[in-house]
Amino acid sequence: MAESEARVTANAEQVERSQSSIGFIDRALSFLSSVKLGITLMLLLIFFSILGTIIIQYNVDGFEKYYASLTPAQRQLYHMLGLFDLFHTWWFNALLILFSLNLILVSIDLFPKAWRYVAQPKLRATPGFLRTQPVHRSFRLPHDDGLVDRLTEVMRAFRWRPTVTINGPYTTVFAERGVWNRFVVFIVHIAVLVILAGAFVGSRWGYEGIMPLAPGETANAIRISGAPVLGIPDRMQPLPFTVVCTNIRVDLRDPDGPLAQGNFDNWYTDVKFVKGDDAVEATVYLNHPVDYEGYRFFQASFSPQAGEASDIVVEVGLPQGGQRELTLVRNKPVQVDGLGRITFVKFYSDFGFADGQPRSVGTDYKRPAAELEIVRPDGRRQRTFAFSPEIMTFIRTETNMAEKLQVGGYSFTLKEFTRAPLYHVLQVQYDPGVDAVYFGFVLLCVSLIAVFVFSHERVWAVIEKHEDGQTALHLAGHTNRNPIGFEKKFTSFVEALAPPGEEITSRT
Amino acid sequence: MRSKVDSPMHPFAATSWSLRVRGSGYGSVVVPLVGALILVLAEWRTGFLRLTSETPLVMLTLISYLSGSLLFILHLAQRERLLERLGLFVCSLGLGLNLAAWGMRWVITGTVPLSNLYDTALIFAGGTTLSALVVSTRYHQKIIGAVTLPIATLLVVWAVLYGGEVVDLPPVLRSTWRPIHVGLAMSGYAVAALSCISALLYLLKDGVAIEAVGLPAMLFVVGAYAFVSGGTVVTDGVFTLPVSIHGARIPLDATRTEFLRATIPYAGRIFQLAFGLAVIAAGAFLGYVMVGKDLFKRIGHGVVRGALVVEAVGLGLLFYQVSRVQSVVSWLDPQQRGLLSDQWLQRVGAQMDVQFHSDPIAAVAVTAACGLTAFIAFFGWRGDQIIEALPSPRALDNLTYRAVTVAFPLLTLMVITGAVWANESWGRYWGWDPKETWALITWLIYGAYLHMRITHGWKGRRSALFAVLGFVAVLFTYLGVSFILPGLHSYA
Repeated sequence: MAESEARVTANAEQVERSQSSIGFIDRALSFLSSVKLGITLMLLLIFFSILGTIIIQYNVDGFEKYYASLTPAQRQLYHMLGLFDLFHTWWFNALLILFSLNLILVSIDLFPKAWRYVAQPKLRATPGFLRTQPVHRSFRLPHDDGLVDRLTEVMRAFRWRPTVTINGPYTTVFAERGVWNRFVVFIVHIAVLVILAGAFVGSRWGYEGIMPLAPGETANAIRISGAPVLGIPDRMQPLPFTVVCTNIRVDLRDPDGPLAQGNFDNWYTDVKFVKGDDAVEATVYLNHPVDYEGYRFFQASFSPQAGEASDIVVEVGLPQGGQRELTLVRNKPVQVDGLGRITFVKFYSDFGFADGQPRSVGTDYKRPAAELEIVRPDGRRQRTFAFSPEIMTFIRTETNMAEKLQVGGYSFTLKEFTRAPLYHVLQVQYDPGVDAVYFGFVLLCVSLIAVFVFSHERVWAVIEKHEDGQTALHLAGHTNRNPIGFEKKFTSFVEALAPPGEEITSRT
Repeated sequence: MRSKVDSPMHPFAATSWSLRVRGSGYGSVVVPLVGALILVLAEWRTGFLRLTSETPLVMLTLISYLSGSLLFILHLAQRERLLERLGLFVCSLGLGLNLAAWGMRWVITGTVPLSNLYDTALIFAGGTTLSALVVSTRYHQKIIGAVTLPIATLLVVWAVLYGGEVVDLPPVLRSTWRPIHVGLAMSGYAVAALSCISALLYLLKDGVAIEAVGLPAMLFVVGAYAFVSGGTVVTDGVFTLPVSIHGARIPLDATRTEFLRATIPYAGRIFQLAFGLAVIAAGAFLGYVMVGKDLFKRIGHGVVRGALVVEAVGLGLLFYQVSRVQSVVSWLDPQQRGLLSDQWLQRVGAQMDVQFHSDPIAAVAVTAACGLTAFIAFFGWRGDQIIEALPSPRALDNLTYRAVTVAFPLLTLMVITGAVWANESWGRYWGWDPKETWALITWLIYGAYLHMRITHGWKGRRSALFAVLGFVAVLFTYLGVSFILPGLHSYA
């Protein structure tokens, strides 16, 4: 007896315990899915975002100066908490993930409620129910068989879709419009989640770096910069293809002005992407990125030093006497009858020798020269130089090149050239999440506008027949947005209906 | 047979319905819009005005806004309907001039004028006035126009202070996304300004004492004077402005942290006095909020009035002296002067110039302080009448919400177009750059505001406070980030 009692108590305890654990999960879930938590998380995100702009982040211009102004204790503390790269710390990301989780759970929690609300509208209303609505009015009128028709007609004129239901002494005319508006909120939340997911993918598996390219240079990796002050080294990220720079060109505002930031109008990098046998040519310039194999190449900056040329004008001395001028763009072959195919391949701004090889020994266009490659009609490849007339004396007296300067009786003189910086710097982005982010952007724009421009409106009319030949007409309405605007609309609805009787109540 | 239906509903309801019936009432909005458009198009096609600068129009705008504000204030004091109508007319005229000025700049410079703070302040002011006029007309509440007009006035003052020099945009910013992004930002900001005003009015109507609003306002004034000119206003009674030669400031060290500055005579002492008065006013308001003694209230409002006079005199004197300066060299700080050689001073001294806008933080801070002081002084003077004349708290709350529901999608579009632009030009849609981060902060504040209406218990004052905070964040994103925090957007 006592034993069984004890067992019962134990069972009860067990049940209680399991209930309390269910209770705990329930409580945790309802906490995680509460709008209040969402608002609190938003406030936390606001707080830390502000902190992240007050404490200058390591990748923002002016960080070195700011870092130098901190005390060693501050540096150590901020460093420990990751405040120099706050937006990429684990705890900030955890906050974002918690925020996403909250968004998902709130939506899961609210969706069935919204669904029930929309799927089961109150078709059999009573005057008592109508009085609980934010706007409602009642009239007493003489009995009229055409009242239901008149109600549906006016409701249709207001673009509400009516349904008539008879329920005992009451006839309910229920009408609504913009039901879908109840669900757009979920699309807004989905859009935010898509953006966050895309951003997560991008930050986890994507990267961005730079690629300096001089004309003629080949690169197959990008440099991802670290933060020297914080001890994060730069690293090289290999690419699955090769980038060949065929030429770099600039547009100057003042063509005779300096090759400096203020004088640049635009700058172009002609590249060739090579992957196996596949080669694609493209030009990267300002506000005109180029996509290749999921990578995006942007024009970012340029060398502060000049010293290259993008195109040249060469005077060709013909064997039979006389001359003709040729404009040669770097790496763009030009056919010259009798001579063959001629290509401008290399430029020297200050021609000289180092280790016995022709080199550019300076960067100030002191002794400009261009190296040309010529493919003769018989297929022989020959290299030669075009020097500017001023340095021909130097070439004749200081070098033994003078005899090499003729190809098949043709001679070459450099007349003009268009200056270019030593190299351009491309910014390279690899972001597998960017499409999702863009999709989220579009979804967010459309859904937000749809949410706030439209609303869900419901109106009820309950006709209550009295035995004395009188009819009571109760009208009520409800909306999810802009209640004051709806009140006005409801008033004009009543005016359009113009019930031929006296008003019983007129309260809002 | 139509029975008479009375509409006992809402003060707004009947008027708006009758408005829609007559289909008019928007003349004060439509006429300036169309007028400005015709004027700008005519100038573009024929050049009949022979304008070389839109400055005269900007000045006329400023005069209209100022006199419109004054007329509304007089109306509140006198309750004369003619004053109100005149105020509305002048306000509407100001809007036309404002939009025409902005449009003329487009004609004169040949690009969409959304490049710098001058351009954006002009269109921000226009947008604010436009939305205030729309709301005034739609709800027959001219008081909202009256209270919003001073914000537009302040924005035009800032535009004038920045000066309309045509800037050459860095090539990288030349993108079709730029006018879209900046245009959306300015429309969002303008509607946000309206939501802030209506939230503030809600707080006042809901019974928040003007003194409780005055306290943070006066603390801002205190902070502004403590902050400008490197703190020397408070410590030494000295107000300085950077000296420039051909528009460029003169650094005194290699790291460009210290610049040559000129002391404006008397201004510092006057601002020091204003600072002191603001401290007293803030203290008195704090006392009133804590203890509730009437004496504190009277002291507070009296001191605010005094501070307003002092600030106005200080600003006037500052402008007068800066515009009439003969020799900047005589204003130089003796200590800084010691660092410069006499020959150099003799050579370039005549080219030295002092401009209010070479220190934009000071320009904004000092004028905003004066504007805020005027706002508090005005409410201290006629606050009860204004609050009486305001629509119901529910209507103001609804107006705030409506404004935010317009501003929020616009700000969302602004952030998104900014992100897309950044991705197309720099290869990243989000880089946690301070301006981006602050735009996100603003977005989150308004997001929190919108969600507060779903959760019970966070409505009313708390949500109104968030609407005000949202606009503070907007202003900080617009100005504070550019001047105070470093980063990509620091050019504008």
